Amino acid sequence: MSDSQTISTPKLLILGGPSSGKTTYRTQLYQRIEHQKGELQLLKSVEDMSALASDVERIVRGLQPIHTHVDDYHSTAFSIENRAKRSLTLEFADYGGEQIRRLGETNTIPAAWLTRAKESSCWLFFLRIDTVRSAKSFMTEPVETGPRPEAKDNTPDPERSAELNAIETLQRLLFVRGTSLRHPLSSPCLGVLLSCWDELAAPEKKLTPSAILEKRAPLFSNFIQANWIANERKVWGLSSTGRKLPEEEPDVEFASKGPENFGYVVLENGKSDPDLTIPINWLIEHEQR
Amino acid sequence: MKGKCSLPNCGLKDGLACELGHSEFAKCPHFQDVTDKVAEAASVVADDGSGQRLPWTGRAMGLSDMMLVSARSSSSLVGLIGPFKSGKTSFLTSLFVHFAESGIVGNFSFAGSYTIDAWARLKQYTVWPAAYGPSFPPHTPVTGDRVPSLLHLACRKGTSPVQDLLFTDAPGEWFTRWVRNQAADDALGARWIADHATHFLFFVDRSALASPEVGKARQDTLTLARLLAEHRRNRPVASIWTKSDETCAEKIEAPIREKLKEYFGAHSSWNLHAGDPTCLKVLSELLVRPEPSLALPIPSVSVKSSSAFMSYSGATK
Repeated sequence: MSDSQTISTPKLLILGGPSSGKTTYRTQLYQRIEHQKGELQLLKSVEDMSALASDVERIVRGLQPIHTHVDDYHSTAFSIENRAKRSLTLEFADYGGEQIRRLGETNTIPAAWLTRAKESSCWLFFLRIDTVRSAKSFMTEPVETGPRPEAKDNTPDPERSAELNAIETLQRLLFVRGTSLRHPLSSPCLGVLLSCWDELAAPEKKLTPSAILEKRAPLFSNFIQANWIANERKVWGLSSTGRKLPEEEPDVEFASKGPENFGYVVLENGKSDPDLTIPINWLIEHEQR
Repeated sequence: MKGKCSLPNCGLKDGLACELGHSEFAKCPHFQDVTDKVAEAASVVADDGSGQRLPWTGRAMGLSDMMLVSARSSSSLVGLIGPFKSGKTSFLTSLFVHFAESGIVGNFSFAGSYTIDAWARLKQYTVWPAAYGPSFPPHTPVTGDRVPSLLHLACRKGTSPVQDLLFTDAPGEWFTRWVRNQAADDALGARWIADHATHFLFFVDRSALASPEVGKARQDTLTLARLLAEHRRNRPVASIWTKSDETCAEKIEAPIREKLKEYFGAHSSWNLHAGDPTCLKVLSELLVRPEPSLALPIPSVSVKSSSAFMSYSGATK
């Protein structure tokens, strides 16, 4: 790191529950920087590929990467440079999203996550958008039979929805970081990736990422807008592979064209861009200011 | 390390921190190790001591965790006062269900909640399709607690400091006991609300006033209103007339409305029911500072009979 053109390692915290697309995005990000097609490019071979190898192996065959084991947390270091030829090391972690779900549910934040929350300077939050939907209530959508007068108080606690869990996860990590949220935040900067964008119905795909978030998860959307100053947050749509990949029978067309030719991010204006490095580049640029 | 705390009211069993400040629970004199055989009991906490306990659980708050919001803002404590079954908890449910549709009320945006699971639980009862059909939330259980369950909502207008609202969710029986004997031991919770609330919402059950039980309903409402007026000390009050979608007897209501004006002075009065998003206007009024705003007359709203808001009759002057 003695090169004068080298910029400091961004302290990136990857956040996302189970099946939120972290593993697939990391694998495809690697494909993009290796094939040098976007804002960020790989400068030299990845020294330790062990945490990434099996995912890459599956995606080049046209298969969905396998879910990361719940107890795993492994970081891979990528030596990359941006278009201005400035180089940096990007530490990109992957882990079982179950850890995030637990983080929102148990009342103790494990020591390792305390450190991550405190020391990181940019957060990238993955939210699988196609399955986020609020449950219908008779209070807003009348039901023909009408409500029963009063419930018995023996209903088990509902499982927290993806939307509420996202809010609770951020609240918890911000609290252990020492932020009171009295004022809107300028650090850590926050990127939100709405994954599985390709699974949305056609009319919804025409909306901008912010509009979809507002529509499907209004509390989470407002939580972000209310608690981060406008320049320090951004929401993108994400389809890391452009289409759903099978788990067992390889998608031969995908494999033969090459994974680096699939996938896109949806920008603020609703336009798609095949450069999957855009969100990471935005976070890095923000951190360097 | 597994064990339980013998100190009454310690938040440890609820997932909060040790009341006496020990980060290693084993060092607290009230903490007792338990064997693995009984370690499955709900009050037992297990912790390796390396992480950080959070000062909230997501469930309704009590005295131990309300300092969390009082420390960061001058939070409003909204006391919901009303007889048994007058619709206090259903109002809170309706408020959350309608607010969660947009996350916005007036110029304010949702900025968080430390009782997310408590709100979600209220909403859960109303959700459909469900195995046993949707329903209103159950009656708030009667406890001997000195402090009611509190539900929290944080909102922000633009880039202004966050505003915290805490709503009390107390059983109607607390107020019945308070009316019967103001100094009674079992009226402690009602007295706490009367002492500490910054705002009051007074609940009147419109359907009860149109029922054969009208005499009792009228009596319960007026005696409680009078007692609240005596303890109010100029804090803002709004009256919430619930179940407006059911049969109502306006002639019977008229003198009661007059009496409330006499007790509370000019105050906002809302005709609501669970399906009516007008409850958000109540939330909006609570958020708009300065705090005495609820006591001031608010502009009346003209309503078209074809509107979804038709049951809203505007503010009483």
